[in-house]
This record gives sequence, structure tokens and C-alpha cells, in this order.
Amino acid sequence: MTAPALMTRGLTRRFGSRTAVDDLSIEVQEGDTYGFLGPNGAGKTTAIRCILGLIKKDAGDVAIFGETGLAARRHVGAMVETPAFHKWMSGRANLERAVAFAGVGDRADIDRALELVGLKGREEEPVGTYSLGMRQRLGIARALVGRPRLLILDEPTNGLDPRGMKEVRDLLANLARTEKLTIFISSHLLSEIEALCSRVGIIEDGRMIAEGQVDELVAGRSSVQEVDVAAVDMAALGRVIGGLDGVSLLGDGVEGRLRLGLDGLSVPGLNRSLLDAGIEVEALVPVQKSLEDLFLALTRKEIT
Amino acid sequence: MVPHLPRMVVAELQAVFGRWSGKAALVLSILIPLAAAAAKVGLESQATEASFNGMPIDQMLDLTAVGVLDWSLTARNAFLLPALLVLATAASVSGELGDNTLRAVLCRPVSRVSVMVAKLSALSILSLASLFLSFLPGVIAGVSLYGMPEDAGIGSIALGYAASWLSDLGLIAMTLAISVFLRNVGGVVVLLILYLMIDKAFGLMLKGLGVIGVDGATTAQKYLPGNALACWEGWNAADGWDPNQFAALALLFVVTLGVSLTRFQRMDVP
Repeated sequence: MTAPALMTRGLTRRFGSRTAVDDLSIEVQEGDTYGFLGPNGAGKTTAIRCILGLIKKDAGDVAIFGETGLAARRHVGAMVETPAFHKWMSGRANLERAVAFAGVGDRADIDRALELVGLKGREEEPVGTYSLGMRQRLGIARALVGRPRLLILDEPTNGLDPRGMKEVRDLLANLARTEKLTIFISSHLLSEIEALCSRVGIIEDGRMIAEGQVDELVAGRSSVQEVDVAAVDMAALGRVIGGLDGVSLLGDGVEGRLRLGLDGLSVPGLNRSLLDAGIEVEALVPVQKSLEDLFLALTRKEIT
Repeated sequence: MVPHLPRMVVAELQAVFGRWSGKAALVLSILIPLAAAAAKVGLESQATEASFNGMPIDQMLDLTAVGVLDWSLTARNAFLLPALLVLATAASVSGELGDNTLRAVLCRPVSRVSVMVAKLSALSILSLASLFLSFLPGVIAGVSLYGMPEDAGIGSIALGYAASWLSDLGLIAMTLAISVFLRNVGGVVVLLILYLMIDKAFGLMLKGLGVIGVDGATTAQKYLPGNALACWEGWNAADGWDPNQFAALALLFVVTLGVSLTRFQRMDVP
């Protein structure tokens, strides 16, 4: 069995009396696109900095493809928050600098990274003339030089307009598909993570509170399926529901419908039972749970 | 040490020479000897008939190639070039810590010691280039104006230039030691100036204590960083080269570099 792309065990970092990352264990398998979620101040960026060795950890282990320390970083390309560059240098010169310090990669490698992020043709211009979106893409290109197996990105769409966000999202989806990269991405944009990631980890107060496949986590929180129901006679509907087995009234649904919980009863089964009871059903809409619902249920803090 | 250290040094050289402090250091290095030669010519044309305390001023001016190099080296080391070297060093560490460009480097599979060695190497090459660019035009201008000296004067002052490189290394190491504690170039410059002022005052105090016969005061004064950095002045000092100054410079280099490396390896780079 191959070693996980990224594994942390008991990762802990304190700042004075505050524990920013608390006994954090993460496991990312090769090929995963892993979303790292948490409210602001949950410890995402601190955890990423510990993983990359930018800041010291107080306890715990970090292994990347089974290796630790400097050897582990041979497999990693990273972009932490808004990427910084020597602005008077060209985009290419900044990538050449990255290659020189990494000790891996060559001109062809840089050309390939520029091609992948769509900056070919603009690489000789000083970075100071680049838009925020272009700098973000150059940051991803810098992370890609040296052909890493694991890409760690912290808030890669921070500060971008909707078009820029979509461009970066499409780029990452393309990289995961065509380059077979393992991607570890931190973001507070839940729709972005839901669109990109197969697995997620959610942290709060530095601790992992949920980790797993997105669909399993979303579906697996409860055995109860929720549906919104509307009928011609809503009062009659309310009376009938109380007598049906496996059906509970959860409250108001959208557009004046009733939200029902089904436990052991299917949606067609509910429809049949209602018709048998003489209820004329106008709408029967299964409620799709989202990552946002899960996130809100798990975390106490407000999403920003 | 990593095998790709030479590539790192080249990359760091591009950054050092790309900043305005690096460019200004090189341009000024060329201009200073030319200005020294022009000053000699200018003063010579006005002062041939004049004398001071019975000595003709043209003799005092030392109108020789060595005289041109002497003025050039003194002007170089007096303020401008050390200030630019300090700025270049601070920009290389504090500046990169402050604008987060160092973060991208440290995410890579490279030890922090190697990164610091690459920076030190690039900065020492900047100093060497500055001295070379100062020495060569000085020799050409001096010899063109006053001919090749018959004595070994040029060899002696060449040693002064070489000692200046050692002095620059000490200054760079001192600046690095401050830079790893700050993320602001201006802060590094202010702290260094403050330190050198205190060093000067302390040196004068020790010198005074030495004059009144306090044991060890004179020796202690020689080992102050400010005195160590002035080791280059030995090329034409009445007492010749002072080995204590070079020992003090070596001590300064080792201690400050040790501080830089220890701090840089342990610090958080968020």
C-alpha cells in the first residue's frame, strides 16, 4: 500500500496560551482533491504553514508521500495566501528563481507551467504590471515548477472577481484531471470546494471535526430524508401527516410548503400514502443537502 | 550544503543587482574614483602656487596615482557604499520577509542555512564587484594623469581595497544579524546607525580610559565592531596593519553570522 500523499498526526501549534492547531490529524490519499474548510481563525493557514515547514510545530508529525522534513518538500508545490513576487522581475524570472532554489526543473518545465496556467506570451512582462488574477495564476505556475506530486493551495481565489475565481477553479480541475495531481486546497468558499473536491476536512478551533467524502458526509449525517410537500388543502395535509408511519413534521419548507422528514419511507411511498389518504399533492420536492448545510451544522461560527 | 547552491547564488545575484541599492552601488563605485581624479586635477590647477604651513599644497595633495586611489577608497568607505551595502543586505532579508517573497523560497526543499549562505555569497560578490569597479577606474585615471608610481604604492593600496572587502563582509554579517529580527528595511538601517553611534561613543570612552591608564581599555576598544570595520585604514596608517583589528573583524563575522543562522533556522516565516 502506498503512503498517503499527506498525513499529519497530532499536529499542534500554540501561540502563547492560544492553541491555533490542536492535535490535528489529516489524511489525503494520492489523487484526492481535498478541501480544507473552516471558519475564519479556525487554524487552516497555520496548519498549512506547519505542513510546509514555514512555522514550527509544537507537537505532531507531518509526512508527505511517507517522507518528512526537507525530503518531503521535494514532492510539494505550494501557494500560501496571496502570492508575492519580485515585482520588477518578469514572470519568467520569478519562476527561474523558484527553480534555482528548488534545485529541480528547467526552462521546459517553466514553459509547461506557464502554458498550464495560461500565461504564455505574458511571461516576459514585469510582474508589477500583472493583474491580481494573473499573479494568482503565476503563483500556481510557481507551485507547479519542479513537477510536484502534491499541490497545497491556501485560499487560491482570495481577492479575485467571479471571472477570476472561475478561471482558477477550472484551472485546478484541469490540473487534477490531466496532471493527476493530488490537490490540497483551503478555502472558505463552500461552493468552490463542493465543485472541486472529492474529500473534505472541516476544522474548528484548530481541531478536525469532520473528514471524509463530500457526498458521504453530506448524506451520512442522518438517515432521515427531508422533503417539502404542498397540497391543495394544506390543513388536511397537516392532519394526515400525523397518522403516517415513518413521517415527521419538521417545520415550514420553502414557498409555504411543509418540510417533512422521512425515516424508512421513500418519496414515492409518501406520495402513494398521501393519495390514499385523499390528499391532492401539488408538489413533492426532495430537499438536497449541501456542504454548506453540513458546514453550518458542524461549526458554530459564521461563514465569511 | 545543497548541490544546487551555485544556482541559488546566481538567482540571488539577479535579485541583489536588480534592486536600486545594488545598481546604485555599482554606478557610484565607478563614479567615486573618477570624481577623486577630477578633484585632484581641479585642486592642482588652483593650488600649485599656494602653501600651507610652509608646504606647497600640491605636495599635500599627493598628486600621484596612489593619491587618487587613496581619496577614492576613503570616499568609498566613508559613507555611501557602506550605506548601500546595508540597504542591499536589509532588502535581501528583512525586505523579503516583509513582502513575503521569502516564503515561496522556504516552501522549497532547501535548507535555511543554504538560503542564508546564498544571500551572503551574493552580497559579498556585490561588495567585491563594487571594489573592483572602484579600483580599476582609479588606477586607469591615476596612472593616466600622474604616471605609474615607481614605488610599491599601488600594491599597498590594493591591500587596502582587499581589506575593505573584509570590512564589507563584517558589515554585511552585522546587517544580516539585525535583518533576521526585523521585517522592515528602514528599521534595520536605523538600528544599525544607532548601534554604530553607540559603538563610536563607547570607543571614545574606552580610548579615554586607556589614556588615563585603565588596564585593558585600549585592547577592548580595538575589539569593538566599529574599530574592526576600520581595518582597511591600516594600509597607510603610521603603525601599519593592526592584527587586533582583523582578529576583531573575524570575531564579529563569526558571531553575527552565527546569530543570523541560528535565528533564521528557528524563526517562523508566516
